[in-house]
Amino acid sequence: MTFFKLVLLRLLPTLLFLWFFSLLLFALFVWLPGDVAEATFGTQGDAQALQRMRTALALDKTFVQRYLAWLADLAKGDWGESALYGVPVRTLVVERLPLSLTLSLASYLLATAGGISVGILLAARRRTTVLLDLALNILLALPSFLLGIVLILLFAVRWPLLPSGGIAEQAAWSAQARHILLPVLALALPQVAILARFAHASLTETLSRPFVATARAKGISPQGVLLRHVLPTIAAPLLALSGLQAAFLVSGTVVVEHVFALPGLGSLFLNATHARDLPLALALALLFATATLLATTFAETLATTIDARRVDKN
Amino acid sequence: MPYTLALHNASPFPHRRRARYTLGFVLFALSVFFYCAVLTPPPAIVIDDRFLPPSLAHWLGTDHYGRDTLRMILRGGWVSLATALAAVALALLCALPLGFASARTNNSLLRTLSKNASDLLFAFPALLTALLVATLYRPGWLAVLCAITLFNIPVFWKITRAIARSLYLSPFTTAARALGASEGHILLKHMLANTLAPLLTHAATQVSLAILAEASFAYLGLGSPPPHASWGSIVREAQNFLVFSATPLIATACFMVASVVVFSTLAKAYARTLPSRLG
Repeated sequence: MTFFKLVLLRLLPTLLFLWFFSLLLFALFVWLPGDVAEATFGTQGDAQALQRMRTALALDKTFVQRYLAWLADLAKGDWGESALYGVPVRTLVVERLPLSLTLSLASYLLATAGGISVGILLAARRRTTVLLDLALNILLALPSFLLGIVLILLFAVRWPLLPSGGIAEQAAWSAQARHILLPVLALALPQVAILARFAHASLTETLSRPFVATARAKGISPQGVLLRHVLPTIAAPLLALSGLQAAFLVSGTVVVEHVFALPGLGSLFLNATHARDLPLALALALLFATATLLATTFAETLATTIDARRVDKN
Repeated sequence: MPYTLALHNASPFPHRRRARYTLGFVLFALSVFFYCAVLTPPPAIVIDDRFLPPSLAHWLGTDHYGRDTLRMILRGGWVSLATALAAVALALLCALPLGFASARTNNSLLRTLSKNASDLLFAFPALLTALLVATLYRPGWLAVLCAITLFNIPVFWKITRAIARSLYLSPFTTAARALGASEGHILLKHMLANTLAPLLTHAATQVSLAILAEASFAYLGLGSPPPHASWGSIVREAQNFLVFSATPLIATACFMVASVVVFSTLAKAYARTLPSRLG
């Protein structure tokens, strides 16, 4: 199977799903009672004025025509106008994207590095890891908002080392980093626990397999066995799992941005929901869904290129 | 093979007993929550008694309206656990037919479709569903229930499909078919009976995840509005009064973490009672 064919095989269902999702979103949007014309005129619109506005906004076209026009607008970069902020959705997204992207990428890297290291540590030393195991169990049982509150109470209130939320007013790199450190930890630690559990389980399972004993018998050092034989074996499933973390990352970003009062995309979505700002919410939903599913698909494709057996795994 | 199993695990009964005790505890806690939430009136608002420390009259003190914290938490427990349990049960009901159907079919297109659909649904963030339902309809238990159910459907779908596929290809199903058993009989007596135990075991794990998800959604204000506070909404409110009294927040957090731990213990205990070929 060529790489191109593989990408197509993975990408096609994702794109189909996203298209279906956009159709569903638009259908719900259109079929909700009331439209922009009614909302604008309130109780004061006569039938003629309503009709004029509907014609002007192309609300009287058929569903298919409106859907296609909406898709074309999305593709052109016109994502509608936010009812809550009164500015184009695109402006809002472009303004807030860097913060959310930094937050999720930093915590993704931290979670992957931390998770795999802790997993190796757990698998390597069997007895001295009771405390680490307990910490992982607590992290798994702690919702991320609670972890955020605990981190604020510890490192911003009890020992005032770091700011409790918001973004830095200074543009200095260090000030920005200080503000984003606690949110990144709150987002990454639960994923560290999940990845560490998985890495530990698959490492222990792989270490008991005969090829490891053979490698040891040939005189390869334990570190060498781990690096050259065991880690490549578990790389593909780990990669696929870390791709699935994208979904957690999206949910986590919303929660963490709310807890730490960060003006990112997650808190924007939450504001849109509470204000029932439909154009903003729909655009953000599409954006989040596309980002998540493409990230997952990308990770799965990479995992398949590493381990070709994943193709026919059903 | 049975001998090696017997040597490995001398008696399966301690696990079974542990599983039963945990289940008993869960049922007891649920009935306490139910009693406090449904059968007794809500705790009275006494503004003069705001932020009382723990005492004999109020075991966990009082909150910002002077309500008894313990009773608020027990009432919230019913909302949280009932939502989590209902969502998982609903997902199980939706996923069973989907799983059986996709295990049964030999049509390669349908099989690919079912695999891709469950994979993609699984990768879809649950919070996104909750936010969308809350935007398009309104925030409330329905948004939370939809989100958690939708998140759990692909989980059970995948498990059901994997187990049912191996069962469909197993000799005893073929034997039953050869003896003239109807499809319905095979489905109920062989498939369902053998799928349910591992599925329910996994459901306990999913309930613990669902409790976490419900708490997060309620914390973000997507859950039921204030009079029907779940644990997440209690934390949401208590956070604002942290300076006056930290007890409500800490106590609620402890209940939340404990319930997650109890359900994952339940899952682990039942997983050990499963035959190894299904576990």
